[in-house]
Amino acid sequence: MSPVRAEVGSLIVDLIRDRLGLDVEGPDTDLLDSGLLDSLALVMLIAALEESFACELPLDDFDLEHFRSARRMTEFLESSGVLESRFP
Amino acid sequence: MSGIRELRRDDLPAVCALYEQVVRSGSTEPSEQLVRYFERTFFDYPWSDPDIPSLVYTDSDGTIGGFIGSHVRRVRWDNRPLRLACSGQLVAAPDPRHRGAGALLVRRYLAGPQDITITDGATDYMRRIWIGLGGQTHASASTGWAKFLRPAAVGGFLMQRSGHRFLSRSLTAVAPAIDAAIRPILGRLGGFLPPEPVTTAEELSVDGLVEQVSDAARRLRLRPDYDPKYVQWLFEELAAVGFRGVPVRHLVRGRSGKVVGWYIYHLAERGIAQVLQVAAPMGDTGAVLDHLFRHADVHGAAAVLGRVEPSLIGELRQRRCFLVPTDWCLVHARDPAVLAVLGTPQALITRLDGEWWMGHHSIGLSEKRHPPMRVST
Repeated sequence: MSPVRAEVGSLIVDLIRDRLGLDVEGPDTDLLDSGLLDSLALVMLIAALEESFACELPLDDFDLEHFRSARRMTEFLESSGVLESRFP
Repeated sequence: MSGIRELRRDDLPAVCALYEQVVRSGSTEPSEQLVRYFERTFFDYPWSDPDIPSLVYTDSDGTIGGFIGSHVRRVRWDNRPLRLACSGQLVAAPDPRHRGAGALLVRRYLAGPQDITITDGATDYMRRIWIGLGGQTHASASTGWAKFLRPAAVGGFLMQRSGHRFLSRSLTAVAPAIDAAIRPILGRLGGFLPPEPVTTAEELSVDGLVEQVSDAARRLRLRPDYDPKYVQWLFEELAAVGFRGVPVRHLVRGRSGKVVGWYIYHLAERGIAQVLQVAAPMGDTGAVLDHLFRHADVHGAAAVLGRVEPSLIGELRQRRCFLVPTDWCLVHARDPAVLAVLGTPQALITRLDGEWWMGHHSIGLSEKRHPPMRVST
């Protein structure tokens, strides 16, 4: 894993812990199957990501799978080009 | 790839199956009436707006995992036409992989091209989601009021709602006698029972409502932009929502014969009457409320419930109405000036203009239908 990815993954884990108050072990903790991520938590997570990465996440092409874990979120942000502007 | 797209007519069987399963009977076989109801309220109603459609959340294989209903209303703000979107039925499939679909649907809906978005039947949980998405609580409209006419009957109703069948049946049986004993005392205390009104009423017609709201434009900064086709549809749908009782629509005239206002409510004999709209643009709100309360009382209602509109608050207090909890009314608008007007007496956006009154959860369920009753003016 690249240092940028590792840093972003760690940042997202912290967001999940601090802003959502969810107890996640690490970047691979499954938020969907574990039932940790409900509608309210997802809204708070989207707001936290948009604020932290100064981006607007898509409205229509929004796959819940991207939010399965901190690692998947990192991959999603990277593929969306969000990380390029923050970590050139 | 999963995602959100607009609801199509051929999605209705799947959407209704999901709604039937999650919200209604638990069956995955929706009634034909429900499918027809969704069709006419989403696609075939006069103000259906393709720019602000109902939405579905689909999995990568095309399976529908959630949906949100859209009910668009037309309003005027300082005589400028605006589109008001009512965020309606919201359902997500119960399996864990769809757990966040509801929030994604609300988020997408709020980002639509409408000027104002409201929902007036929201739960605490939905309120928190809306607030997280930039929505606000419409404070007065999230507060209910109650005019108690037959307190013992209300007690029976509350027992029934809280699942105390035996207590409910017992209290309901003796309620008429208790109320008969209490009501003369309430009458002597003053303000508790509605007096004989000094006004008269006639049925509020489709054209009558359109005309009255249009005439009130000079006094209202934010109001519905009713037209006959829409109001005709609205009145027919009010009648189709059978579980709340009989819809009553009255135009109220003063002694001189001049119109002082109007009201629309669902009347349930020995039950709870639910007010949808009370308006008195000339300012005589008390006279209109008096007629409404008297009408409900004469027809046997146990209580009249409504939500606190800014124009009503002073008159409600004078008439010994109590504040009671009700569903949350939430609003979202990009222009804060619109939100500011919503909370003033210069706005006439009532329950009639939301989706609270609609009968998604009861259509086609005969056991929820209120028995027919005779209603006079």
